[in-house]
Amino acid sequence: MKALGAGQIYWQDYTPLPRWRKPTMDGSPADFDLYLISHKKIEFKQSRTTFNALLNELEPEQAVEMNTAAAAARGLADGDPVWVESHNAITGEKKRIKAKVKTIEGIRPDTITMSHHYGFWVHPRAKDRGPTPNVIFPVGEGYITNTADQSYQVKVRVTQA
Amino acid sequence: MPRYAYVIDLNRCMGCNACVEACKIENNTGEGMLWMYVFRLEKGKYPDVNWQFMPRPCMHCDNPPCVKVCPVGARFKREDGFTLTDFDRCIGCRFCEVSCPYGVNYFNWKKPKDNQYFAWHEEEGAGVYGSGSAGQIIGNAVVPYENPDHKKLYGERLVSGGAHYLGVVGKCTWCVHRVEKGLPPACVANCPVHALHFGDLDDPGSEVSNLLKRGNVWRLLEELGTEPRVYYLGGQQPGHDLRLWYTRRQEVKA
Repeated sequence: MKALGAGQIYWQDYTPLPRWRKPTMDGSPADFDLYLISHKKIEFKQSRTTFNALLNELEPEQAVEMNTAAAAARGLADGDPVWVESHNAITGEKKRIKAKVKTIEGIRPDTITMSHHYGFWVHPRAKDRGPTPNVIFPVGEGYITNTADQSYQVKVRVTQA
Repeated sequence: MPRYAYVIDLNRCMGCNACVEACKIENNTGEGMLWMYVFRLEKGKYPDVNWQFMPRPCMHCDNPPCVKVCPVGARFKREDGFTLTDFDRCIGCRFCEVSCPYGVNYFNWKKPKDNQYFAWHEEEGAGVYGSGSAGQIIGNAVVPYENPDHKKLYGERLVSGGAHYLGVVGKCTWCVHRVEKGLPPACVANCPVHALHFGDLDDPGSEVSNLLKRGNVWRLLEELGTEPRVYYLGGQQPGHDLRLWYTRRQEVKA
């Protein structure tokens, strides 16, 4: 890890006064061209209401929300299944999940977002509703801030599945 | 005789779906039956985008197409504004479902117990909690769909709780069982931002009368001449530049 520059980035975050540095995710290769963020839907409380039958009827499935123009540039249409692949700029690790695209206008073309209410695998009401983006967010050097909140920002690429 | 109306303030609505859930809990509608529904609409192109949320209860029209097509007189209009179904008379022909331009009617394909999210007589608990049915888990308490208010007659007709009988068409009743007790409909009572209002138009001091004085009032598909009793305040009518960006995709388990 240290050989990859992790130590330097990690300790740089622990200075008494905050100092700007280049975000770790910007070290990813250019083909990981989208920022992935996560959000919560208004119906759900964190991820612990996903098995509520009334609520997951309203929000049945995970979706990758993406700008219409950005999706069209990748040859994607609303509802297409895609792989969302993240890249850890420190370790070079790649992780990917499969979900469906939902095209909207109200999001930046260089950003996609997924809610993190899904990804359960046991409860009959909650399983098989798509993955949670948490599994492709890197944790560790360079991706965790010194306030112990986890900076859930990473560069990803979206490809047709 | 009051003249009830329903006012939806779109400037306040944040699309949280609390009204949808309040309705489902109060009326115990089955899976896939959304007597209240919130449409999410999007306008414009990035970066100039507007979102609007539009709740859609039954419009309780003054000129209701569903009443005209009902062959047995089950769907009727009350003098105080309610458009209701008499479930003793309904034969389940679903003409009202076809005639309604707002799509608010839902046919009960199953017995009420099979229509619920957890089929209470089944051993569904076994897979979730280890053993026992959902009924045993709650100690065989009176399950929600047995709310006795739904069994009562209002105006000497069986009009409340349309999700409780097999083979009839149910729709939003404006919670007639609550309004007759002096309570607002469940959706209005549960709106966290006071976007929904229900009251008497004949009373000049009522909340709905005052809200309608503000202007920018419109009604959904007014050009069809159905004379809806539901008034929208602010916002914009859905049209070619205001598109639906969110729909419930899951197939309805009818």
